[in-house]
Amino acid sequence: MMGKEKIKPGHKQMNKMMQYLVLCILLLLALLWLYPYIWVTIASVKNETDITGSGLLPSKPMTLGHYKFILSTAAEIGRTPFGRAFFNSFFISSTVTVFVILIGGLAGYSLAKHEFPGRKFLTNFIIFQMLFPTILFLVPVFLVIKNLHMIDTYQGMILPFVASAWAVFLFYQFFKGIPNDLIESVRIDGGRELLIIFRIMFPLSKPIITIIGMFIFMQRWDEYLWYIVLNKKNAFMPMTNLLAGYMKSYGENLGAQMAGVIFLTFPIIVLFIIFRKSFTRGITMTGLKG
Amino acid sequence: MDKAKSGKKLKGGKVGLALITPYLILTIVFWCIPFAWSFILAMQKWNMMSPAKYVGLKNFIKIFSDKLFFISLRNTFQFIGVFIPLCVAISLLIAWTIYKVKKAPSFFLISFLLPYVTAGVAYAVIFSRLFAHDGVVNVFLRAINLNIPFFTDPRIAMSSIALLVVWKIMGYYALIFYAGLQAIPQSIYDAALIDGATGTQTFFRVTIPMLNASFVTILIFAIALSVNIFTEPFLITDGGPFFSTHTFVFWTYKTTFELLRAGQGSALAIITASISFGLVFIVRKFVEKEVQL
Repeated sequence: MMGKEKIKPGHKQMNKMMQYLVLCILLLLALLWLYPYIWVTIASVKNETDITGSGLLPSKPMTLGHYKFILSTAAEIGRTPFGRAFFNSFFISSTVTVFVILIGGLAGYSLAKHEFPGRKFLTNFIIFQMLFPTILFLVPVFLVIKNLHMIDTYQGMILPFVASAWAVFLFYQFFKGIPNDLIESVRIDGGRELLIIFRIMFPLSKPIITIIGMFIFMQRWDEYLWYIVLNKKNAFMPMTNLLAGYMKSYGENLGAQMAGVIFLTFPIIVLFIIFRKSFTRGITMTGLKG
Repeated sequence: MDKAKSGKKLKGGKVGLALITPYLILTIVFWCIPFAWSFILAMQKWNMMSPAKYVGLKNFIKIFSDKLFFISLRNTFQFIGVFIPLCVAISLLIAWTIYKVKKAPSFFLISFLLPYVTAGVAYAVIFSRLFAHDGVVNVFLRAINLNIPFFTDPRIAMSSIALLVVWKIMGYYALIFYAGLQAIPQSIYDAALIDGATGTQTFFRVTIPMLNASFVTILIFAIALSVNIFTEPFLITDGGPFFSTHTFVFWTYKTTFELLRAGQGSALAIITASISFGLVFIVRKFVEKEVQL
């Protein structure tokens, strides 16, 4: 039944034919999963009538007009240009990411390597924090931001997200595994605490920083609900909100929407492909620990 | 365990506290205060301008006696009913196939994971076009004389949205299952083989029970996602047609920021979170098991 091949325990040797068949199905499925991206890329350079029409092949020549429209023509008729929104998204997302790593790293290090009154309580509190869905905070955080007079500002879209319990927890877990001898040897040499953190701890935790950075950046880049609540000003509008505006209010302009989708998705896809290893590691880590 | 691994903690309480202070201040302002405030708000009638009025549990009574409560609940369960079985089945099947075929596993895992990084707004734009009455999907369906009004028929609009979310999130769950499959020790399969178990028996009696932790994680993620769904119904169907995609977060948003009823909105958010907790509790109680190696 199994011939001479080595028996891989638990996996009955699949029939060669069968294996290729399954592989083909898997490939087709993967293509199906990637299809929307291919479609939107082509649609973004199609003529407007070719996008709304039912034909699969374009009947008119390709055009870059939709890109031109969202980048410059939109501004002339008083809409926010995508370039500006792109900058807003990038600025907000990267600022939040940097702060989450700095604040989370310091807090995680403190919980893992320092003894102070209330440390146990705070560690438990951070786990407790992660239990609650964000919807619970939508209304009151909006009111806090409003009372701080930060509605329609960058700060208002940044500050509520810079303290991440999830990031602190990951740092805490990581730092716990680093031997104390390493820290103590520097301490004897008179090294200061911040020096230890920035010269030893942060460089050592590159893998965990990449995971946290990737997920936080992606989350902020893709955010929508919070931004419609916290900002109404065109100048500070992130890309998600601008694109949603195109969809909700200017439904007729499909080509512009498709070009907008390209701007919104491709940077994050490039990041994802570069950091795919950290990304999958991040998911399996949280997946296994529950 | 945490003592054994890290040895003794470094002393110096002041430095330790100083390092965690930025986190604490921000957490107090943007977590603790809002957390407490949401419960206070839920018992107030307030339009965010004139002074708030204490109304006790009136907000909750109003919500529970609103027809929209049952509509939202029904919609949420319609979503769960399509999304969870479909997504769990497909992701498990894909993960298992990738695991078994052993050809380019990372290529497949990455391809399926790609939609996960796409913003809700972006794929709402893509799919509202692809699934439109004259969209690509219906062009293909025309070949078998079918035209499905994915987003315009109130009976299936919520299920159509569930399909999109399956597309987005499936790769994520498949990856969790894949990691779970890799963590199953080979010795268990050896034992099953020696006992003369067939492939199907091994799958249902060994593989599935050994994946319990992955199932629980995925179910908890899926419940949180289902109860908190917002962007897709808000952008694609705007809660319609005939309230068929009206969800709790959608309702919370409309109540608070369009009708300016902060109290009722907070009460809704608390109810939403409670439903999420309730369902997670059920999963923990009935699905989670200690797996003995």
